Amino acid sequence: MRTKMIVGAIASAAVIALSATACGSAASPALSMSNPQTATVMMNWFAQAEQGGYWDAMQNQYGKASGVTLNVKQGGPGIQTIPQVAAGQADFGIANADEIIVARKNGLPIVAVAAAYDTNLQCMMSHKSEGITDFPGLNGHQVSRVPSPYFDFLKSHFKLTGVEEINYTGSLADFKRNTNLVQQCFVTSDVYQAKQEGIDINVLSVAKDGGYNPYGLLLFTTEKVVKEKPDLVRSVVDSSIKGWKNFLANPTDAKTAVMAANKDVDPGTFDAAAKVIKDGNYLGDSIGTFKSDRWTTLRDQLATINQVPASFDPSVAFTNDFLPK
Amino acid sequence: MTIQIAKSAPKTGTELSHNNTAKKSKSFMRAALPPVIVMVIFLVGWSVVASTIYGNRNYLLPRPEQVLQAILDNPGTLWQGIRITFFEATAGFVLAILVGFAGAIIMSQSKMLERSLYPYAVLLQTVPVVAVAPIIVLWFGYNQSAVIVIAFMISVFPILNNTLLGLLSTDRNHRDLFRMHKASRTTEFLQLRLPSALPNIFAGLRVSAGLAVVGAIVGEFIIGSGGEEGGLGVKVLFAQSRLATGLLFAEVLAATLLGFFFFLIVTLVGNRLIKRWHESALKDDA
Repeated sequence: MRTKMIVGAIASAAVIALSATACGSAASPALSMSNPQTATVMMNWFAQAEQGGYWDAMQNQYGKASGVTLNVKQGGPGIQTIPQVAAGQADFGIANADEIIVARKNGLPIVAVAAAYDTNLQCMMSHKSEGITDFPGLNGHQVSRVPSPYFDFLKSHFKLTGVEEINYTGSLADFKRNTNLVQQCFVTSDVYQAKQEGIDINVLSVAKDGGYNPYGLLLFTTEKVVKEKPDLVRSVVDSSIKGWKNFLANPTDAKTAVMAANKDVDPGTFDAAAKVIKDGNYLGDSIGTFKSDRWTTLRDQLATINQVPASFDPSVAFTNDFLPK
Repeated sequence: MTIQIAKSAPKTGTELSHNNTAKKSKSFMRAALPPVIVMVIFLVGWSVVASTIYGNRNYLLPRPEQVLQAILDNPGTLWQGIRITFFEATAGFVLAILVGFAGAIIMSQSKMLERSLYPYAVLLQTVPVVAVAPIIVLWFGYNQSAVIVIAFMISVFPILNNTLLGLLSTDRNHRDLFRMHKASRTTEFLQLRLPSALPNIFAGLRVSAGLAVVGAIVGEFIIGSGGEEGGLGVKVLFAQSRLATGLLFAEVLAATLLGFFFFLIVTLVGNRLIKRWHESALKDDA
């Protein structure tokens, strides 16, 4: 008799507890047409082919059936996606994995939710006449770059003490005029445009020649959004992966969205860039997935330049939980 | 016409100096205490807000102790930044003084010259420096020269404008007096127009001193020359990219204090010079 009562008490307590938690998680409303939501995704530069997957997702609105509207906003020189997303100015943003780790270490509550580029597009272009075939060759030259962990690593790893750093302006005019200048670039648009301008260049890939390969232009958000709106995160991740796959198959939709956002985009450059991304397999074989050993390697590389402690746990900075099953 | 000044019976030497030092330290305390109190209130307020409202978001607003820690951890970086920005600001300021003075002196010589040249002086003030920076870089290169030119452009107009105003405001009666004694143009300029313009000149210099530092920082920010060995503006870019907000605040504080220091120096020199003129004028009459 008493055992029955105790079991009964425990069972009812369990039911009450379960229903309480069920009420708690039901607090985040399910995605549906009757509950429209908008997700803003902030780009880190002017709209360009290299952001193709995200713009394709904006053009096609893959989350429409669940009531999710994707709003991709182009960035520019002053935009810092990580602090701005952390401060709540946008729901999602794109950045490189090294910036994500440094931000996490400095207390910003952000987390990477989907990968884009498996091989980073970053490179350095120099005039062929200078004969620069490896990174140590940058010594004795002026380098135009955006201050960023990647360049701090290159400086330290290749002992670039003889390099004069200046701000990156995105302009080819300075590069064309000054043969001593080495300029940061993407292996896609910038290399194509330099060739169009008739400049003979040597290209050094930061990932392949420099051995520094953080996941490029990955999708990230804040811990708050992950906790409060997991379904929205899942939907946006799904849309961005669909966007990249469609961009590879047919870049036309992405091109429409990019050219609508940025009037200065040259169609020839866009097509050339899309082709390089596809032919060079820069997105990798399983778009969106993070491999944890890549993050550990990155953490070790950033530790050599003292931007994160060697004991920093990189697993807090990313998650594969929101990828489509 | 001599001016009679009634003077009271002189006190003994030691009495005078004693009174003077006591008065000076008392008046210094009276002048220094209110701003110090405001600073203490400000620091307390900042500490409270940074620990509560921004408690877990110190990457947006660091606590005062974090900024202090950044200063203690990076003395070499900060000092190097201060040195380089100081050099660029001084060079820009000196250039602004030379060009500003020359322009004002030329324009003060005739109404025709003033009318022809003054509009272009105003243009130097209104041209948006950030927008013409790419042109400046094209002409001077990505180096300190371009930064100095930008510091010059931002700080030249107050000097030119105020010096011109001072030179044109000479008392008519004094000018007539000099003419009556057949003084040459040079004598009139050096002995009358320039000294009487000093208060205005220093008003302009005080404004431009702070602007020269602003100009140097803006130039560094746009051009980013010097890399790790750059001035405070460049170092701010690095701190920003590494999300080192404490260091960033420390660098901004250093830049602000540098501007304040420039202002202080110019004010002290100005007060010294003007007091001397007034004193010697009085001494001649007595």
